[in-house]
Amino acid sequence: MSDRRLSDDEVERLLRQALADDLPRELEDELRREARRAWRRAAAEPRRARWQDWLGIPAGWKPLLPQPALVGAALAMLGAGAVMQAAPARPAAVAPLRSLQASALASRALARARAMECTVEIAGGRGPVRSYRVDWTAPGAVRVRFDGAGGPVEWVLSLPEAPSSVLTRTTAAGEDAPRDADLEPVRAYLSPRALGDRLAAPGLVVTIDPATHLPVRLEGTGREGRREAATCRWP
Amino acid sequence: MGPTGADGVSDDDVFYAAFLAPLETRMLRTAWRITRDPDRARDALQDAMARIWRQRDRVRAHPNPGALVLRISIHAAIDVVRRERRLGRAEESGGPTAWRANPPTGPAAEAERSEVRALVVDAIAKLPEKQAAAVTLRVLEEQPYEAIAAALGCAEATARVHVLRGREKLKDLLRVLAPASRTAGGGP
Repeated sequence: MSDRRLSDDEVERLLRQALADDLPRELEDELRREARRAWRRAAAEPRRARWQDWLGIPAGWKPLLPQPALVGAALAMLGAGAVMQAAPARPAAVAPLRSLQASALASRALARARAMECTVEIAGGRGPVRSYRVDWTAPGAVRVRFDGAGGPVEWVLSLPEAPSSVLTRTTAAGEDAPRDADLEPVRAYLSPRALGDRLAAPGLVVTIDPATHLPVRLEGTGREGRREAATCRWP
Repeated sequence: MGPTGADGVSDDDVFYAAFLAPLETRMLRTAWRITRDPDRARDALQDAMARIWRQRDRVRAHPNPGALVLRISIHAAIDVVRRERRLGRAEESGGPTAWRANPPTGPAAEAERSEVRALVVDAIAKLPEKQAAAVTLRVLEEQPYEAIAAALGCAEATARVHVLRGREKLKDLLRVLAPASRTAGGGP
């Protein structure tokens, strides 16, 4: 290989010589016929929309939908996008996600909670409103006070993780043992886990303390059809 | 076929007669000069005609339709060469042979010319699209810079730059063909 570069003149002469204009006469006639045939073939192909030419879509390709339908669908999607962009700050799809996120944070905060003082008011059907006071005094120890048929009742319960049965009754006014029926309305408030489940119940509006992520107010109609309102304090 | 008038002549016939017939010979020659092969020249012409037909409105409205048609033809021919190169079917150079401004004649000389041709075509096919078109239009078609600029859709100064850069790249790509430096007293 030479280390010398060609000059401008040399490279141009090289191009003209190597790619000489020496098309043989008979081939020229043949190519001329071929060119005209190619033109007629191109012109005989089905007419295509300008956008297909622009996109370079092959002539044989047929879209599944006619162009106006595609244009309509594109415009509809653009419109939907514009509406969603202009929607209020909390569009419908975001609220459940935020709610789930808050619920997860509250469950985590509840798992760490050791004490709580809660007033629960339950109204079932047309009956009177019953008021309960539920205090978590220590992990697994719950004191429940309410007005029973025979006067004020106070139970101190020691609950395992599953608060399905009441183990201990220390004080009661004329009652032998707490009945599940008496505690059933406030079962959801007897342990952190039960309260965590209650937060996800439909029909209840839960107010979460933004600083602690703990529930401070639950209000609404629960799954059982009772109206309930609870106010919780977290010492 | 496009709409046909009362005289039985279609729009496409009119377009061919107005824009392509005057350039037909140059188009054939360009396809041949770049491809150097009857079959490839045929392929290049078919591609060129299909491209021109698709861009016929653009050609019709172009300030220099002739230059645009030649540019499209050059592209089609270079694309055929590139395609053949990719498929490994193109004429291969046997090795570097210094180019001679006044080549000898005879079978050996023809083989040498064939190798040089393969190298040159290969080098053009390696250029960026606009540079390849600009150099070919300038050197082979001897088009003025104004027409090259119109064909490439750029300013005349930009067309000059495309030609310059293309030529410089060709000098690098074709360095193997440069004759050895001449010494005082000359060669044998």
